[in-house]
Amino acid sequence: MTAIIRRAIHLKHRIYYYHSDFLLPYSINLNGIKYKTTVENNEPKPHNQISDTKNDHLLTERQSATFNVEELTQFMFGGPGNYFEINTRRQIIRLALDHPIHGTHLPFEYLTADEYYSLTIRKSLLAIQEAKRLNITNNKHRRWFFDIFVNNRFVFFIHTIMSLHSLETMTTEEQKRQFLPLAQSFHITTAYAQTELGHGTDVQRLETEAVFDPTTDSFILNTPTLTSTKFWPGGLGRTVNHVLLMAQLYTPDRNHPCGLQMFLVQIRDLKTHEPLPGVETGVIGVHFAHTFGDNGYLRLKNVRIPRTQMLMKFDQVDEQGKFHNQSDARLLYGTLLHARIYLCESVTVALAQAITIAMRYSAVRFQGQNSNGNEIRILDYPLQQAKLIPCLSATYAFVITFMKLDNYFNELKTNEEIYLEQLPEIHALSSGFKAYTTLISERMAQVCRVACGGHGFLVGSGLVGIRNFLDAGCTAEGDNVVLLQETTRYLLKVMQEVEENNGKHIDSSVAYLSLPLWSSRTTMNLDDYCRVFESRSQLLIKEACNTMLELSSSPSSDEFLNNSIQLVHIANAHMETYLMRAFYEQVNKASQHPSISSILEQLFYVFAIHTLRNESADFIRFKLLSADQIYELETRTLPDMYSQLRPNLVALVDAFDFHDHELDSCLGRYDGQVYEALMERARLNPTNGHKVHPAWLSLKQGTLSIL
Amino acid sequence: MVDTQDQSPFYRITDTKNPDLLHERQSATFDVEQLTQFIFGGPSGYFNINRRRQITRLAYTHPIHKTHLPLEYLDADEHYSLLIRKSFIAIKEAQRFNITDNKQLGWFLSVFSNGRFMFGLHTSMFIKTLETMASNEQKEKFLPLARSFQIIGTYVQTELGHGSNIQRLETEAIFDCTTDTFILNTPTLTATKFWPGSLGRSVNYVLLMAQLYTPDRNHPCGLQMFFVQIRDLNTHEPLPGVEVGEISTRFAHEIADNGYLRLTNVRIPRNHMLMKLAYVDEQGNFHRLGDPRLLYGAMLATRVSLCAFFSILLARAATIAIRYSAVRRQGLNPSGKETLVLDYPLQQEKLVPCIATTYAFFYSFMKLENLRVQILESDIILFEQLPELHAISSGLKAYTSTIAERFSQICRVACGGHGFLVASGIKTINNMLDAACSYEGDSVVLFQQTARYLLKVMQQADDDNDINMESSITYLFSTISAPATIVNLDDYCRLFECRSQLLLKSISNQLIESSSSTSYDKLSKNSIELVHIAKAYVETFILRAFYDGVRKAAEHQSFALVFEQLFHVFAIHTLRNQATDFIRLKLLTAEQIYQLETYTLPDLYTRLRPNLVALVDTFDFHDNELNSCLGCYDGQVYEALMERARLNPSNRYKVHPVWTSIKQNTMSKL
Repeated sequence: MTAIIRRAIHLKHRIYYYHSDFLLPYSINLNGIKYKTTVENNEPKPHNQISDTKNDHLLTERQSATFNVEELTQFMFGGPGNYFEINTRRQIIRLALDHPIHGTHLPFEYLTADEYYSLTIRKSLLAIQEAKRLNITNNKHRRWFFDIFVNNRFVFFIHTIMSLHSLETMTTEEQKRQFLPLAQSFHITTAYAQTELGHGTDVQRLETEAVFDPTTDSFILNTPTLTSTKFWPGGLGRTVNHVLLMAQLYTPDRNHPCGLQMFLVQIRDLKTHEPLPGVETGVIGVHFAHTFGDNGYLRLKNVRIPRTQMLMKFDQVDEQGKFHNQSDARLLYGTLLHARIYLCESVTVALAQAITIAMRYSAVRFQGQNSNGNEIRILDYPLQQAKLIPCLSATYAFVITFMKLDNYFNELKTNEEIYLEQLPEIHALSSGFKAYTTLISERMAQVCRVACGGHGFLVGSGLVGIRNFLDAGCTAEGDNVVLLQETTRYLLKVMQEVEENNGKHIDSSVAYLSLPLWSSRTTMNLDDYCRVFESRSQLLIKEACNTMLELSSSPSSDEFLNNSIQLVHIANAHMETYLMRAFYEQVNKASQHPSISSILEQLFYVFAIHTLRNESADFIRFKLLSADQIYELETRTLPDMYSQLRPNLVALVDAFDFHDHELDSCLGRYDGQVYEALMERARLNPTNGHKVHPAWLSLKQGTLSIL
Repeated sequence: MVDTQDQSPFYRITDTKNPDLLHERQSATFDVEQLTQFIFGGPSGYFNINRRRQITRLAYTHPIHKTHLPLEYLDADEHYSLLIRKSFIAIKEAQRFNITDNKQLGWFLSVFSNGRFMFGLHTSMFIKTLETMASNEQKEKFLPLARSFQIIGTYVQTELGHGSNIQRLETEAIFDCTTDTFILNTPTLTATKFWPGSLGRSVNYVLLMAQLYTPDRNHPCGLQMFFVQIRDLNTHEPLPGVEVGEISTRFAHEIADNGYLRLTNVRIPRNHMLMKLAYVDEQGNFHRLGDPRLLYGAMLATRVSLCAFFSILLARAATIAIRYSAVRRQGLNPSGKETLVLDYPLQQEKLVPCIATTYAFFYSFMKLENLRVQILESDIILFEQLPELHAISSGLKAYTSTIAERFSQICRVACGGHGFLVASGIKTINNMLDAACSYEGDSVVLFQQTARYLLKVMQQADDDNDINMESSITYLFSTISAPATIVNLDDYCRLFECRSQLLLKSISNQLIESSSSTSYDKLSKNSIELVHIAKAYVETFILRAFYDGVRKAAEHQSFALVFEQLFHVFAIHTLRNQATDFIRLKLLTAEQIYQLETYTLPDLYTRLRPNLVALVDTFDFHDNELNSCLGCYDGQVYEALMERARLNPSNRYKVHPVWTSIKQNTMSKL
């Protein structure tokens, strides 16, 4: 076939085969590359050993660590019931990376838009086949496998994260039987079509219509206005053949609105993949986080679907068009929570990746000279430490808190009654955690970018992609300030209950609201830090209660609106208490591991003081701490902690145990060969395949002569 | 037909199509054009807005602008080819229109090539360095070629292993007296030149920063600049011994064609070393001639102009976010109507400080630019004032890039998901500002230079009370009484001056008492605080500059008050972010700051509310400059978003080819 022209880019030790036409070869020709069908080594060993280090400076760092990295990894991410199940995760990563397709393509940033899309589709479909072949059935494991296999660009991720969950929880038994097997086997693939061009967070205002037509027993779907165009859903652009459509139901006719409902709508022909009549769909403009793949738009014009395609577990429309409302709206929350947990996992992992990259690079990069004329490792600069160590400690805080939250939610889920009762707390915590971590992580990823200097700005650093992902995270699944106000509303309610002192049970995450205030002392231990944060949060909430008259007021009320800036501040303060407590508990748990516990304690102090000094005005105003105390903490204690942690900085990021493939970073690779990697990546740039760029050829040959 | 002599604003209120935006514009309390002229007008002012409008109109009349898709839809090769073409046409057109003034030429070239002029480093750094560092003979030989674009060059300094610390650069130029040439080499991997703009595929010459060894390899003579041809002028092929290519920067197309360069035994004639400040004779003897501070002047000019560039980028981000917020509705208000997002206090909290800061940055830039003109463009360069100019420009560059990057991110978030599209224009601005935090000097490195200058003048003042006090630091040596209450604008200035002075005095004493042996150790140990005092100084400078602006505005009744409000917002916003300082130094109490933050600031937001759109309209950006579906003047954001999405080349397929091939493939199980 002449159509398949292969370009090989030769480097010293590796050859990348690169299909110049990605569009044809769905079945990959692996050219006799042997494909191991089983991973030979099932030992859950770390991905890297110290002996893999090639850079001498990085080796020194690793050798001077005061604790065993694998011990910390197991402590943090191993053990029964741990969310990350590190040993299983390692095996899954090895299985995913074992496939020969990973050696067949260029880094993603070098592909054209079409090549890029084709590759992610091919890899995604292969990943599904492989997961089936390898019999990876657990949802979380399968998701990890997909993510790793498709370089974090699995195109059906919304289908697996959100839609499958909706199809499980929002359908009748009959619908479940009908749709679920098809969806689970990816014969039906879906996007979650909620957001519209004109409406995001405020779902009540969505405009897409589903009008019941009893004569044909079907719904007629329309996007009646420009602003009702579905816009943004991932996978919608070119990929999925169905959508879960959120639309305003009108039944028995257009004059009777019945609120939002979810519909399963086919949009593409299963054989030809062509859009069905009445469906206009496409990709929306280019955006920066390729990780959120194939975001699309959708316009519907008189598209008809059978009545039974409305998801009817909670509400039903009967043949006469009568609307039966049985819904406990609270149960709908499951899908959103599910998606939010997944997002929080991705966010904490992304931050851990960013800090891994920045820390390792800072250990091999030299700049400036000291008084002896020697160049200085940038990790030895106090200013570099002031950038990176707070990021490192926040990463630990986030990871620990994430696992605590997930555990807590799972515990609650085992009993539906308790679950429903605790839903307000779950909602407050998950909203607050998502908002707080994305906000801080985005900032910190940017700090990591700057800490890596110009090279951090290259896509090949890995940091740019992470930062963009975290930026998107601030908006995806609910705008942060909207979410934080939800958290505050819950806090105000609890405070009111506490003040009424009606003996009602207080949720564990807010139990501190009924405690006496922390009394100031000169030396502060771990618990004191937790207490000082809790007291501040308590005082802030009380203050807000006093200034706001109608506590039960809706978020759109003037009272709520006028105080919204403070209300967001309160939610952040509360989340800080929650993070501190979770971190504190983890430090306590580490007490049986003497080599680890002191280091976790140091990290705790950094996190606490760093967070505190950024909010110092609160603490001073409430007379919890004096300005001088904070100044001392900031200018003496904090740098002192940096020095104590210094020998362990690289080991502390090594403990996250990322595979180089996951980091996809020239700067953060385990062996420390950063300059070799940067140079190799630059040489791979396809534009360097031209000795003279075509634009110049035509200029020089006069066909494009300008001067 | 566009009237290219037209000096009027690009848009009139009647161009507004969105009724909400129209309402905003009609309710402004001042005349936008009057304010625009006040800040950016005047033929001698840096921005010279009337001329700039003409130039912008001239640039956009060319038919080429209608011939291509939005740039984000081009693949890497198409993108590069288009920009090369546009850049060359821009040069030709500028000649045709006889635009000769350097600054105006810069505007024209940039506007014409969508802010991505490929030879920006040629017209700035390359030519400027030749002008300052080449001998007269060299100038006669090289400059005409460079000015007529027969040779196109760039400035090549940064290496793979070395950025800020140029003394450690490894690229070598060894003199060989037998052939009267220098032999150039990249001896190690880390010596690879990495990052220079336009280097990847575009230039045929470079100004190469390299370690000179003469008369032989055993005699290092420090860094020198060499004029080196790297590509054949006829074929554009790299010359023997030259390996050159592009590095990967897909996310910042704006900083185009960054490249790498490796040299193996490339020879250049001896007279291709730039010899105004030092020269090598035929025997290989090294002679120093001029004052190396001359070069420094050129670097400073670049740094100063960057502060204008960052202010403009931030102004664009603010324009987009404010206009979109005046069109976008979200959430119910008690009357059952959807609320304009600009009416949310939380949205104002994001955006009003951003606008106030933008105005403050413009004024601080203009003050700095005046200083630069005074120092560098008088008949004799005022060398003794260079350190001050260096200190302010370093500090201001670092400060404005860092703050503007964060604000542009806030603008992105304020625009929700749509802000994340390239078509919003904001992500691109954010990326450019992100890059700005690193290029031309890392922020913390620059801040430390500012701090070192401050410590020096502090110590000199202690030694010698007679020292000639320079303007921006006079306050450090006067007795300033902290204001008891904050009423006047001047009170804020004095507060910041007190803080800056107290911080500096305390660290200065600390350093004198410090037991560390070397001054290096002292500075390094205290570097975190040094950065802090530099920021405090820069904030004082900006506040004073803005204050001067407000005072000038006092004569204009209609916007004097608005200016004052902006000043207050900037001052309080900056102050509350540094609250601990003010409290610890007993300049303000925690309660006072709380009051300012919780009551005064939101109150100011409310007062400024009717003028927010007018305050960004004042920047008078052409829609093409903003290149934003969300920030277009007419407010038709949803139409623009949908149109842009439909333009995506991927949507020309009914079925994407990968799916066609999958569906036709019998092996496929799906």
